[in-house]
Amino acid sequence: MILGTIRGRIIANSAVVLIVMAVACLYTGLASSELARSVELLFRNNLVMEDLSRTLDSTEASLSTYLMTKSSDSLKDYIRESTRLAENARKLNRSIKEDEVLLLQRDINGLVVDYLSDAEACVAAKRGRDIPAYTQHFQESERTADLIRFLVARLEGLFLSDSVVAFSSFDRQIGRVIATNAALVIAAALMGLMLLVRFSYTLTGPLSRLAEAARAIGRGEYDHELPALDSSDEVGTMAAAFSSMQESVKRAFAELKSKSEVEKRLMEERMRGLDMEHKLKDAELLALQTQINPHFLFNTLQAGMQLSMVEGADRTTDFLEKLAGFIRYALKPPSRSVLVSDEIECVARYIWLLKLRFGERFDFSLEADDAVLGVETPALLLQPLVENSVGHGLKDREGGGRVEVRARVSEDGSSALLTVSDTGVGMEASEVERLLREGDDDEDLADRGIGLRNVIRRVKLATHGRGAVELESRPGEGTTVRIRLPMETHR
Amino acid sequence: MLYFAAVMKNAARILAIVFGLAFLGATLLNADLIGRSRKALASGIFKDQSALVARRYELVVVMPETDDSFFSGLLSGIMDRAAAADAAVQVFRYPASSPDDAERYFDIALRAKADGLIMYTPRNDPVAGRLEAAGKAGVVMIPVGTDAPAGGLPRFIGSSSLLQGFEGGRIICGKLGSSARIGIILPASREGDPRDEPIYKGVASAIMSFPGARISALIRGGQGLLSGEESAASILHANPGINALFCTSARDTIGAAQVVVDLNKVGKVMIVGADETPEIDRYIEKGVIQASIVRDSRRVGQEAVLAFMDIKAGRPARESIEVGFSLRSARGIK
Repeated sequence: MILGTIRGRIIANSAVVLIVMAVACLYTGLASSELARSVELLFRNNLVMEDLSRTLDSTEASLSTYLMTKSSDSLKDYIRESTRLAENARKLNRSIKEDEVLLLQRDINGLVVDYLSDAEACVAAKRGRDIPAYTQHFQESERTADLIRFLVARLEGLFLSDSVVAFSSFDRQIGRVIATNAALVIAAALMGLMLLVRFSYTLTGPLSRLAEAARAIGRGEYDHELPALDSSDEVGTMAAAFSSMQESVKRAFAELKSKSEVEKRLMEERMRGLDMEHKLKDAELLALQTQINPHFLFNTLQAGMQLSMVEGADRTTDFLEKLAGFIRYALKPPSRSVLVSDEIECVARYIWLLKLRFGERFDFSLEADDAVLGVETPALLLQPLVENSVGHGLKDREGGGRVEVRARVSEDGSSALLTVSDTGVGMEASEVERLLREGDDDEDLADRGIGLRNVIRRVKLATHGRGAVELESRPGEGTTVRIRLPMETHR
Repeated sequence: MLYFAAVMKNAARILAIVFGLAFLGATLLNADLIGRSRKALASGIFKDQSALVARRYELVVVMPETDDSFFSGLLSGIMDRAAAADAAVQVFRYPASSPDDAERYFDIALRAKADGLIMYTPRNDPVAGRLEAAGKAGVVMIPVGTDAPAGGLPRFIGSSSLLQGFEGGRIICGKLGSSARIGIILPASREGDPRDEPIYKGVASAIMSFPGARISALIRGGQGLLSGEESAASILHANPGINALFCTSARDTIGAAQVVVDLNKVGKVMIVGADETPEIDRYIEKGVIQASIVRDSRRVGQEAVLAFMDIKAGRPARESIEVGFSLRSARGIK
């Protein structure tokens, strides 16, 4: 449970590191202590021998003192020291074993027993005032004490020799022990360091990933995948909250985006309408500019027609009437919609006027199916095309030419086809392509007049792109302009 | 960053393993050292006595500290029979130049109440008094040596120097006949007039059968490592007519052989030596040494232990025993 929180994990990991270091240090300390103890043990044998020699000396001294003073205190000292000597002797080996050192110990023990025996006899003789006896026992004890010292020295030499051999073995190993324990401490330190580093990454890793996710979302990457965090600590809680927040933000932005797209579409529609309206205004403006003189001309023609009627000039009256009717049609706004029948009637007047002008030089043909007469069309589409045929296509044809105007339904019945064709000089394919491209461009047409491009533009605008103008022409083989109008424009 | 974290994770695992191995290694090494310390202690007071064989008797051996192969053979013979006698052997060696130290060890054996004492006894030692003192202390004493004390001694076990000398003289004269001019190098571990030595007497007895043959030089060997060479060189320089050297120890024999080789007198100076060593055998094979008389000191040791066992078993003490010798020459062992 304590590991479920960051604080608990910090405490636990720090404890692990401290324990590792403590174990390493404690272990090296124990190893060193054990080494020191082993060295001490190596010389403990000599210490036992030293104790034996010391108690032998003190026993001898107390015995001598007693023999000289015969005091109870010196006797007590002798008893105490001889007891200690016997105790020390009992520490030595007394069994018979096949070992030089053990046999020496047994010899020393036997000598001590012999010494104490003589000493006891000496004390007894002293107390019995048997001077020759205690003198002899004292001398015997002195001789035995010398032999004890001799063997103790010999045994100590053996011990020392063994100790030196053993210590030299230690000496060879101590370097390895120091190196090993140093390596252990270093390994423990590195281990602790790695644990700390790993723990820091364990702790800060999820936070870093969360921070990275936050930065990504800050950059607008709302779909940035959040790191999977299974921890139940504070970081896990933060991650869960962050994930929830990310989802909320994503939803909010999705809604905003949806609204924005709707508004964008509306704006585009509005802009398209405005653009269309603007272009229509331009076209109307252009048309009005062309209507200034025709209005004056129309009124003048009305006056002329009345004059000719008064004077009885019927042919002039017809001319002026046709001309006035044509001008009246042309003076109306070009952006208006008319019926194909109106266009046919306008073109017919125009052809009548052309015939009056050019006589029999050009041959005109005008045909219209009844099915298309009610189809709605932008005004003044056909007249500019006829004017182009005469003014450009047939202008240089000295031998005359033919202009045909047709209005019919397309073969699939979906469109009304208005066709103006001539037998004029025709055009190069590049010229055809240029004219069609210019008709598609939204460039200012003010300085180009109402021509083919104007026709193409107005068909596109009026039919919202569903209508089309086709141009077929080859040099020397005439030109055909075909206008396709959707049938849905029926009134 | 994540890669580094993964590396740290792996590094932590590796270091954990290293730490574990280091910890284990340190534990094993320290345990080994502690074991060594215990083992070292076991060689002293605190040794594990259960691993040692317990014996019924403590048998003290007192002999001089010398490289004479007689004593190595003697000790080897004692060790051969000690197990059968159920005895643990305690060896005290005293300097050959300080025979008084032998008395100290004798005293120790008696006062420490050893069960038995096998003691090397030179010809002039007061061995009778020691036997009596040992008897009073309840210690069975078996004197051993090369020659029995004057007047003889019960329990004495040794080889006969007289016979050794006689055999040496016989070999030399058998080869050189009446022209034999012999130089004798006596053992260093003895004292007194060299002409009283049984070896000398043995050689002298042997050459009596070869009129004209004579002992031209008689010296006692030294104690040093090169004493054999010194003695041989000394004899040959002082007595250029010597054509035979009789040596009574392995060291003197080898030293004499080296001197003869160095002086380019191989074939001109005959050598009859003592004891057996690989070096002596090599010189015999090369013809530098004609023969080596090997006293059976090993048997002396074996017989000493048997005598100890007899006494401990309550059987009557044996008479003196003189073991024989063998002869090593280029023709083999006799």
